[in-house]
Amino acid sequence: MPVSELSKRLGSTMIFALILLVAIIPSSSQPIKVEEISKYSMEVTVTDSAHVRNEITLRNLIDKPLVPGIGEIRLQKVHPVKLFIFYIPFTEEREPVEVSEVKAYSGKTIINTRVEQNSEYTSIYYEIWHPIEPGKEYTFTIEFDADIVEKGLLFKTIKIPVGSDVDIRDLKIDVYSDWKLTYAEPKMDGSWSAAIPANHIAFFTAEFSILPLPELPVQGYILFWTLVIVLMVLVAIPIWRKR
Amino acid sequence: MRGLGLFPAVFVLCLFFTMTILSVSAQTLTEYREVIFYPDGRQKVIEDWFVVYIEEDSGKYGAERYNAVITYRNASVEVQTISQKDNLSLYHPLEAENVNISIVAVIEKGERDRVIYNVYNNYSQEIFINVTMPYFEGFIDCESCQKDNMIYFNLTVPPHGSSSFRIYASGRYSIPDADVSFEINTSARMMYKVPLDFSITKNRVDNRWFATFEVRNQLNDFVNASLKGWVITGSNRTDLFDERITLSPGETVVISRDIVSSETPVFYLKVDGVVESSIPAKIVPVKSLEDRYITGYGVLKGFSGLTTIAKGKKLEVTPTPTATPTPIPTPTPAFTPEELPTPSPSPTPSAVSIKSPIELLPEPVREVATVVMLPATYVLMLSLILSPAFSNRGIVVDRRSLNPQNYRILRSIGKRIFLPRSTPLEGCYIVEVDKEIVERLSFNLNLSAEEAETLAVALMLKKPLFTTSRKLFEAAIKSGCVAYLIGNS
Repeated sequence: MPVSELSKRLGSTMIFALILLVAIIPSSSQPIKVEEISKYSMEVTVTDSAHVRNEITLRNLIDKPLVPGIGEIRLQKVHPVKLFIFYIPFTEEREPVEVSEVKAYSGKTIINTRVEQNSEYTSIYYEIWHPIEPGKEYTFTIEFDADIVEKGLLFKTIKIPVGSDVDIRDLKIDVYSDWKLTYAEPKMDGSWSAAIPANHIAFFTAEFSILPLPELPVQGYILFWTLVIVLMVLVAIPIWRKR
Repeated sequence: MRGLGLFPAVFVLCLFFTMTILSVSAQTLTEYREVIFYPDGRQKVIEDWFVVYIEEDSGKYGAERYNAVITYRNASVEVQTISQKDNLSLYHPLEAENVNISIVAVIEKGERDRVIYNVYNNYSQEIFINVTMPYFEGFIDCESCQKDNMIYFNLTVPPHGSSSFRIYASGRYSIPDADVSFEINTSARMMYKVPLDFSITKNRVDNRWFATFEVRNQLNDFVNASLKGWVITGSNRTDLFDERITLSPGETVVISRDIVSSETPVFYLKVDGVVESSIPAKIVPVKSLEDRYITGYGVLKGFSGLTTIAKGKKLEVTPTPTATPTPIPTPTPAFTPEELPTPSPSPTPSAVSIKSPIELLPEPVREVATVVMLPATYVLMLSLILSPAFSNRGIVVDRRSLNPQNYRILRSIGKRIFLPRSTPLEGCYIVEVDKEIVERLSFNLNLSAEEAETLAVALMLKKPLFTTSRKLFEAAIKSGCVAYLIGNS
């Protein structure tokens, strides 16, 4: 079903926004740096959906004890408008993401969470009322399952923007899948590593395929379906000439 | 081996219904109150919560611990299981409750203003309060203070007493927000079940069976124990005892019973041990910063002032108010210059006694306000006169004053009707105002949030305000706003 697959792959231009907002809502600008994410480890296990495990270490940058309060992780899908099974180019639609199995904890301390689904995005709120002493850190984990995998017959793609209203000093993202990695942007050396300044978003895209393809410079589905179309044309031309 | 008869013990049946424990020394509770003190004695507590900290047990009990309930201010948290190496922090929100501390500032006018901050402690314990204030324009000196890169005031306020610190300022000055830190000691209740060592020894002499029930409190705490013993012979159950006792640390209690039975009896013992104790707790202030909370510091709101006495005039000192923290002094409606047009000083000022530290608008500005009492039926006539003036400017209307009858009339007065965001109405312009201004107006003028927001819109847009509320009308007039009171007829 090449048309269906191609259509689905066009849909893989979807952007799965996973934006970490450590601040209480509404998020605001940050004239004073009171805290930072000194370490942020994200593990994404890609199946039909994605299991996301965020281990976040907050560091207090001021000389007074600091309570982070309510934080937010925002998830959003952005993709072209879909007409039946086709995606219409140059259009954009934003959707919330189905989220389940949310849990947050620090050691054995359970962190309260709640999920709110808005018209355009899904928010996971978590509450940290534990003060972080000056210069000290507080590490906690948030896990959830999210419907952020764009899956076709041969390829599946996940695109993860990560950002925060505080500096992320040491970000490490590991993406796991039973399928073979065919494309990563930026280039992945086993995992992604980055440092993201406050109020910036970095995008991380990984594509996996059931086919035994090597890692490619472009997304595999584009290459694959281009080759299919070229071959079809090459086959069609002699047949057309014979007629 | 223990025995009361000729035969050695045959059965020891143990039933563990007991749960476990928490080491009291490993628990603390801290209540966090986001508190803002206003210099007229009022305060606002925005967020209030507590966190119970359970730190790694030193191995006092050497066992896992279960089902602890910590109760504080009618709220409680439960912990199901705590192992020895657990570090837990348990959060629970609370209803906002005021701190029994109030701060009242009094200005003694003169060549230089003396601002006296009286701090009232309504707790039955001595409170140490530290106030940290940035330097500000107009600052001259301070008493009971330390001057460094900031101005520090360290006060010891006796139980149900007060203490004070002073600032001298001159010219037009604006005392900034200050940090207030303190710690109030209190306590919370904790209840948990504990396992107790126990044994049952059974002996027999002919058909007489002797049972010895022994329960030992191996803990260092007093334990309220519930002991229930029974025996089953064949299919018959016979209760032997049901007692509630308090076991001292290390104490052992022995209960002996005997029965006559030709059948071999089985003795049972159910032991429930409960420890109730007090855990140390403290209340600390917090303040919000960049959407986070800084613990240990509350906020003392600043205010603006103006030295109004001419040089060479005799300084008259205002007596310090003798008000106690409760009831809180009634605030005098007033504004800070940043919220309102700059007032001009009174031409011949004398020493002024100001209960509220917040500067009042001088009379000339007040006179700008227009006072009109308008029965609704006359508004139409007024509209004919005022309409040309207001049609381009628009008017601000108290949403609650709008009804179908006066809406059209007001509409004809001001083609644009402005309303605050909280009270939108189709066809009207919605104006968003700074929350802090609304908050200040609300506190200073004792207005509801809705009224304060409406007034803030009028002040911000410099447009006339129409309302049926006399309170809002008067507040608007005092604020230098052109206001119209609409009758309800």
